[in-house]
Amino acid sequence: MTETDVTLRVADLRVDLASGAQPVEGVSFDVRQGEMLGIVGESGSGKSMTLRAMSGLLPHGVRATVTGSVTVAGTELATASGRPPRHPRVGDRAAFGYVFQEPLAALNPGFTIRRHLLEALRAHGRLGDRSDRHDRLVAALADVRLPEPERVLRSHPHELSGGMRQRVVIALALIGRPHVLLADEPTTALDVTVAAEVLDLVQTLQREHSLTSVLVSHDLSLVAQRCDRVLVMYGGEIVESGAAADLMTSPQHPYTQRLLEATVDPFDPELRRTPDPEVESRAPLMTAGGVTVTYPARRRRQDPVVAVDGVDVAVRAGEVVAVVGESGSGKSSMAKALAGMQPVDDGDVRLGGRTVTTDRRDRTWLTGEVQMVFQDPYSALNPRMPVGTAIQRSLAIHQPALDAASRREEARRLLDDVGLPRSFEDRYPVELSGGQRQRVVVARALAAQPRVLLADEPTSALDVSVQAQLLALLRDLVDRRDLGMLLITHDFAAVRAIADRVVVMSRGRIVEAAPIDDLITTPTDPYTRRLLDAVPSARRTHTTQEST
Amino acid sequence: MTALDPTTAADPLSPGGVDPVLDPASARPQRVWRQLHRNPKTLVGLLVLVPTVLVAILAPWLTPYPYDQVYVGEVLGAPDADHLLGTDLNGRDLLSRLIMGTRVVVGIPLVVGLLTLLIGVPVGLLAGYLRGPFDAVAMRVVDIFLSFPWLLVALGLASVLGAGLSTVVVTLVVVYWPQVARVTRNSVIAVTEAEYVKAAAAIGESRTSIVLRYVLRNAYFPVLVLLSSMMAFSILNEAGISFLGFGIQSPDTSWGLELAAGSTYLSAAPHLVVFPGIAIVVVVLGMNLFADGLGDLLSRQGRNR
Amino acid sequence: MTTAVIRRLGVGLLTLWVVSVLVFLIIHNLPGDPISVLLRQYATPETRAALEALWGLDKPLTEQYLAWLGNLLTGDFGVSISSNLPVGQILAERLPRTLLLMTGGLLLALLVAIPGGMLAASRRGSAVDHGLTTGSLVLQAQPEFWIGSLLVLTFGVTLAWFPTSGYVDLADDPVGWLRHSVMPMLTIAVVTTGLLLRTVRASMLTELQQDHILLARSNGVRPWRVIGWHAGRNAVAPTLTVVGLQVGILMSGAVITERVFGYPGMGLTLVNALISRDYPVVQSGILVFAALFIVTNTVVDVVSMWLDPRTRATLQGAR
Repeated sequence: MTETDVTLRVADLRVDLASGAQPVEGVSFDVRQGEMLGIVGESGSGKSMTLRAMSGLLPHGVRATVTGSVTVAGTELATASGRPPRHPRVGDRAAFGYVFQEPLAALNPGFTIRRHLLEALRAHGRLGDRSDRHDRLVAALADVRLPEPERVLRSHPHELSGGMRQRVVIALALIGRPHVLLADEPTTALDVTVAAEVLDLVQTLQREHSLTSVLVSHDLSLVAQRCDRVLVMYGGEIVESGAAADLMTSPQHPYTQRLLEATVDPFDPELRRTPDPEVESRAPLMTAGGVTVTYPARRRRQDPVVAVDGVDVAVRAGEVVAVVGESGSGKSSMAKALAGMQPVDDGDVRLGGRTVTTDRRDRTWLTGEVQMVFQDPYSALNPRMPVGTAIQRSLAIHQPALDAASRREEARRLLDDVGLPRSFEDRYPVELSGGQRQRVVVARALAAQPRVLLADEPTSALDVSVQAQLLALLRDLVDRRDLGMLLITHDFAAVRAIADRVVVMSRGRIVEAAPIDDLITTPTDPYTRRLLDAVPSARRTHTTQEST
Repeated sequence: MTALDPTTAADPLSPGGVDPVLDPASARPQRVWRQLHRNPKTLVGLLVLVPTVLVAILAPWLTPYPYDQVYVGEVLGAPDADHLLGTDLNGRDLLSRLIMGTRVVVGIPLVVGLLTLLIGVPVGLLAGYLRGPFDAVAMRVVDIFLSFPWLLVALGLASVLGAGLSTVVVTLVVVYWPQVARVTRNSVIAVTEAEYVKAAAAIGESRTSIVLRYVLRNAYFPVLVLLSSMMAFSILNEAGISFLGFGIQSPDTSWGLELAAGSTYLSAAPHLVVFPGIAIVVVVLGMNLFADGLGDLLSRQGRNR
Repeated sequence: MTTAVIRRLGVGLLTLWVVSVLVFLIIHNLPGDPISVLLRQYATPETRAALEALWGLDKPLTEQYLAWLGNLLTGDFGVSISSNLPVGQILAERLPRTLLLMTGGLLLALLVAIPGGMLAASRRGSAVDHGLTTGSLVLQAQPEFWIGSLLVLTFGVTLAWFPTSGYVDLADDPVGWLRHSVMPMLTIAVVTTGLLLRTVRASMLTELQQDHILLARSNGVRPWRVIGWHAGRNAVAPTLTVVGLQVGILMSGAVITERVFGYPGMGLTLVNALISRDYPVVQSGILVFAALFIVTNTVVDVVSMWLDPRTRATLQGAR
């Protein structure tokens, strides 16, 4: 590449925090004009810190020294002072535009969208003439394809949907006519279909405004699908870089290889699951029939909200049934109903000849049959209880015949079962990583000797490589102990990794239910197809874009 | 908070994202000591509070003269070798009176703190854990009590109960229990909404067990912070009530009372105002620093959640 | 109007009612019966009977309460025992002085606390921050009467800049009024500033840690504008709530301060009335102060709700 092509050059960027930590240890890369560069890494890899340090956006109160050089469009931005430059400009354009992970948090709750845009215009000295100001605001919103720009201008952030908010954030970033657009996990907080739309928009804008951009993400498939070139970061350093396609087919660095291995592509034909006829012939363990859950209206003169609308699900011993849907699909309410934590307005959930209720007197029975694995392992364990004690509490309730010594021994055996060393029994949750905590949660669930495991987004708070291990553990436990498992998730990769059958929910109803292989290869419902199309993948075996 | 983003997952301000004191795993003596070092406010606070409590306990043995002994002919005496801090308008040794006054300064916050905890914590715990109608009623009552300015409560009670120690204690309990109840409730609600409490229900824990093993153990800290700053304020409140003449009565002694008596002779005997004033300021500041240090720990814990 | 605002106003009214009952009960729970307390040695059977009939003490308690409340609402606060003046007249004369004193003190305190708190928050962890927060803690440890005495000692006795006692009315001599009021106002300000500054700092810190601050910075908004406008605007509501609660401490401070300086406001009047057992004045004084506090807090809370567009939206939606 020639020098004039390079829009962004980062050389030997380092961040030293006052605490002594070095989240970024000498990062160098170039981005060419019009290119979209992807940076992939897990938590703690330094990928976000790299972005923030070079654009002068370290969070308030963080004391850090930034060294190295950042060059945008041939102009070096001053970092020599050790203080990152505040909002650097090159010519009459901003050096960077920034898109944040959480659009709701990134917008000021007290400002209307109009106020946000005006503030950005003022900052760039582009307030201009009062007469056409309104038209320019409307144009800025139309540029990011926001419908009804007039209404959006008058709105406060909380009145918009997640996708609309993210479009507003992008519009704000574009007001400075930046050379480089930096997007830090821009779609992590959004639903799959909305996320795809937002990324499509970024790519369209990139062409229209001849932008250069950097996309930071934990999701290798997503980056590989969207970007021309990809950097892999680990421990504050770049461990591998190259064209997206090369990286996906022949990763060089061992870390990249591990990451790629852990990344499940739902459309990978090798992941075919052979059904076990013995399991399929079993009678269901737990059956939900016509389950309906409604919440009372939040305001008068509104109808009650029907979260779950006549849903049937059944799970047998030894199989994993996935319930998939986007936010608002009713899958979480369904999970609560199955666990007896949410009263059912119609239909019933039956288990071992009994009906599941929210009745307090049934809890000991129910919790002995159905156990849960929670979404966030960081908050699912009592921070003031050693993990061994946490497991023993469950044993004390469900196996009261055990004395203290055998409870302790049994808790240790359960730690073995979930692949944790026995010495962990005296540790507190803070001393464990996310994946380890999730294993403790699983061990605690097993201590109740349940027949059904209910896992509500068990991997969404974990790093990719840890996700794969935990899913493998869950599948193994289902097979070894003949458990029935319901996996509630939005993530097709997790579904593909361990599920036998899938139920797709949308707006409280089941739109499609099928064995996993059939669903992936030949989805019949249009919503399922849209959902699958939005999943980033390099190996999609079908495409429905023409048919819709 | 998800673990996907390093800038949010690991708080760059506290390395490792783990709090050494609030983290129960490291409640070992040397770690606590190190934490005190890093948090000098709490340490300075303790350096003031511990001697104060010791003086209060040992007061009768420390006073150079009996605190109520009148030395005729030494009225309003300036500080000298015999009377290190001088004598008051009745010719009593000021140092001895201030030493005995420590008992009020230490005793009032302890008694008031204990009583407010006994009333406020159960109310707040039940309101926060049960929610529903009990919560609604309890919090309206709390709102009503919170809108009594403390001195008005004191004046109202003084008109019914008369001046004295009991007026001071009842006033402060009336003023502070609703604060304890509210902070307890809010803390309990915050903890109850944490997933580990739902998880406890999901493994089949009983309600009593959830409250004792999961909720209380995680919810007490904000109450502790409030309690310590409340105790600082109660020292000032007692001094104020005694200053106006509705609290402790002579010949008993309290620092506020001494200051009040001295303020009449401000130009003639400034030591009668200056020494009790300094004593109050130092102890209250110590208590405030201690409370503030605890508060810093609390906010750090909040960030790690 | 909205449910949240209506609920807040309801709580305000309920509180006022409870306070009125409590204050009414004061007179009925005095040691001994009220008439002998009020008349002391002057109690003859005739005056006793006359007073009983006058105050309706022979009627049931609820009826007495309603009559008393009715009188209050028509502006009849009774007659002072010691001065024989109508209490309403005393209130009208004394209360505005106290309110002016409180307002002046609060304004002085805010003048320091707002910029100080914002500065401390924006320089979090710096020497400036540590200095300001520790300074606030020191201020918070000062009793009003001690600060007042120190001011009197320094500026009144030693330097003789300001008079140490006495009073001139604002309407008669504004300069004289100010000379008499500066030290009391300063006293109130000194003891209020600490907590206010720390409140402003805490609200600002919460705001400055929000992602939208980063967005404003990434959009090139100047640092002072980010602090003063983007963060400051959102920090107003939480600060206001605390200022509202501070009014209670401010009132208590004003009463003590008036006593220190012999300032003839409602606070001093109340304390003297209590010492001379002038119960009609005590009753009305406490009631009026409490009512003032409740009304202030209700207004502050409603304004805070209005300032947050999220609650404001639900307010407007429910109209």
